[in-house]
Amino acid sequence: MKHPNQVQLALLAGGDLGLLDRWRTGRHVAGCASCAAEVQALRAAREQVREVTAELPENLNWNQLAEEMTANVRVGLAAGEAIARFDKPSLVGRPRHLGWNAAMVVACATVVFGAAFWINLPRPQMDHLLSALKRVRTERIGKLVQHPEAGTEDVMLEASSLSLDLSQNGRTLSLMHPHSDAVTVSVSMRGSVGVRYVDADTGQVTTNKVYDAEQ
Amino acid sequence: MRSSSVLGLILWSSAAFAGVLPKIDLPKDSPVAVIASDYGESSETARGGAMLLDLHAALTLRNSSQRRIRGITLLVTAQEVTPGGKGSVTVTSLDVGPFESFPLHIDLRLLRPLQASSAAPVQIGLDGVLFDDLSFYGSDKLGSRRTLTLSEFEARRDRKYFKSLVAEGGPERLRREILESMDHSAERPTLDVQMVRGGRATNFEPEKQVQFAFLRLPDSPVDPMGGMARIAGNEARAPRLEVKNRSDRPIRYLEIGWILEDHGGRQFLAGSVPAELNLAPGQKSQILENATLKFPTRGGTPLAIEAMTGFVSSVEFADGSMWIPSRADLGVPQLQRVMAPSGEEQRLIQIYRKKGLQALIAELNKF
Amino acid sequence: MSERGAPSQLDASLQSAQELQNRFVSDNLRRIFLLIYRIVGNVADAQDLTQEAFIKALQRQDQLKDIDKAAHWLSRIASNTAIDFLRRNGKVNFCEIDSLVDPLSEPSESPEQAVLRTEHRAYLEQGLTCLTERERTALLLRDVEGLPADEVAEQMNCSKATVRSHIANARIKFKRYMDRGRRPMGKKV
Repeated sequence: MKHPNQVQLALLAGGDLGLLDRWRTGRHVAGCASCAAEVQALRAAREQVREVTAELPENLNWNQLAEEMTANVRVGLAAGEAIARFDKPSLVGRPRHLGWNAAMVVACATVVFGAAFWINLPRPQMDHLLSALKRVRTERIGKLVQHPEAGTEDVMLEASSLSLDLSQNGRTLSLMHPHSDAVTVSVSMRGSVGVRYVDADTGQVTTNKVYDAEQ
Repeated sequence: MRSSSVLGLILWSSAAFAGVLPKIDLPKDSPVAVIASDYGESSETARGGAMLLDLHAALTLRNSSQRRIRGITLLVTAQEVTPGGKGSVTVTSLDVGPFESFPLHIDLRLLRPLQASSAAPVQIGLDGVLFDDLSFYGSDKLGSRRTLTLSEFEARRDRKYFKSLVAEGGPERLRREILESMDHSAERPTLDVQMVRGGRATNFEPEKQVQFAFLRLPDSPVDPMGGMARIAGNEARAPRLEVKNRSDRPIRYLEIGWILEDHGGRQFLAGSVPAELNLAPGQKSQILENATLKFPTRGGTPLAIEAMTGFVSSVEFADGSMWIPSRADLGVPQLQRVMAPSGEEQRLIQIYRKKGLQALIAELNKF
Repeated sequence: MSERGAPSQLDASLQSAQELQNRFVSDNLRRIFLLIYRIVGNVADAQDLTQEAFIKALQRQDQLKDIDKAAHWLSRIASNTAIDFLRRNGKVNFCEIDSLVDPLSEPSESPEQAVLRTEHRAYLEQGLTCLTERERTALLLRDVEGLPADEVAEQMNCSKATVRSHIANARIKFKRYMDRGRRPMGKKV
């Protein structure tokens, strides 16, 4: 008796097989204890997934978080509306300095709608509020008022037979190895790359490395 | 007129360059001191809206302690240019007696803004010094104590091995071994690598989860139990591994070597996955690193990673002692194909190449 | 400006619109937060993305044709927001080493003692992190949100066959993970 493969049983367990496959596989499972047990186990696993995903993360103060998110959504919407009003085409036809003026509007909207929140907000909550505003700003206004967060540019480390590079924000520090015949590249997933060689002048074993800031 | 203007230019450029000399900052009680520095080949040139600094520093350091120095790590930073990272220059396999001096080269290049501050663009500090009794001095911000100690253990292992070859089979036995090592080095694949923290994938290849196979070394105090990483084309990221301490001593650090195999069956050593942990005898733990490795291909067929193998490459016990693979372990064909010789072995091979077999034997007999 | 004590018709309709919005947010907030949290794996990002999803949805409410499908429509915006975030940032959230739960019981401990409710839940949560992002997203959209497979495929921007494959793999892996937790490990690779 040819058993269906595990993928078919997994799809059957969730009702995801096509009509013909569902009939065929279902027919087999009805008469095969081991396949029936497998389908049952897959269904039980699905239930477990539903159960665990319905639960909030441990130690989370949901009421507080919900309040905060609701407030931030309100502020974000208000800021969006402020920009929308500014975005209306001008009858005069004068070119507008959209970017900075819109930022001013957003800033005002932020002050008006967010004042009550600003006073008492701890730093992490302020960050989430800013995040709600920033997304609206960036999407509506575009490049002119994007606020790249300092330090969010990844540090990239690169090792080659020519040099060892540490790049950040388009700038690079390179450690060179001009006195070497052959190099051995090493990488540590902790956050460093290195190049080892025997210095042709000094005869010394020399290892150059570059590290990202988390090292 | 011409000569004076040329002289003026030279004086001006020297004075200007003096402003970009690195700042070398060693602690007051440092066991090494800089007694000379030569930046003769260094230069600074304007490039667009920036200055390209090409720094070639030939330093002479003196051992001002009473012990022999085996290794040193200098920390190199350029806060203005790359505040998010740092560099280091490490020299191992040293044998510097009290009050003896030794050279150290630092060659770097960086682009700094034209409107840079007057502060030195490059700062050099001391991360650590290892002595022959394995004691250590230094701030150890870069983990140089561990790196220097591991290098020293490898150096002692390899010197002992080569000396045993001479004792068992005479100089010719040693020569054959050195030539074989050079052959392996020539065949070993080398690849450029990029690493980014945070697992940012940059290609559009479909990503797949690949399980680790393991190369088990018989004396290893750690048993790798399982693991996986995410692979997409020439990128490998976020390895996670489970290990078990099979020794009777607690372990505080270990490294797992990571071998990648491409679809053509070529294997190469990608890197190591380190873990600082507190692993009691018999205990298991998981290791997880959130970084991405990419192997850019400079011309030729792009790399496509298919499989992975892990092996325990070093272990540090809680009492500070270490385990590294033995020479017998390193003789396993799969490791021999991918692992480069130790720094000490490379140094000894260099001595053989430049000065011959007798010079090599003389060097071995120094230790 | 309304007369004191007697809201005008405009004020009333504005108030009613505001109330509807508030109701929309409060009715769906927890569900959407959990959906996004399970995709991206951490509370901080989930909070930002949840806010973003609601802002987007409420700004585009004129695009919603059928009010009965509002919940599904919102889920779609939320999961797209989370998936775009992952794509932009390549973030993979595995649980940190300190928070990992060892699914094995010590030899001297009985299975019944080992399986306490919070440990079991932590173990299940860890199981979700064993899936790839795409498998986890497909599983959440299909088995938790209850979206049909073709809609999941549309949201994830892939074919129905690919989505079925993700869903099947996710179910199989999770089931295997559950089986693993019931017996001692030590299977050598």
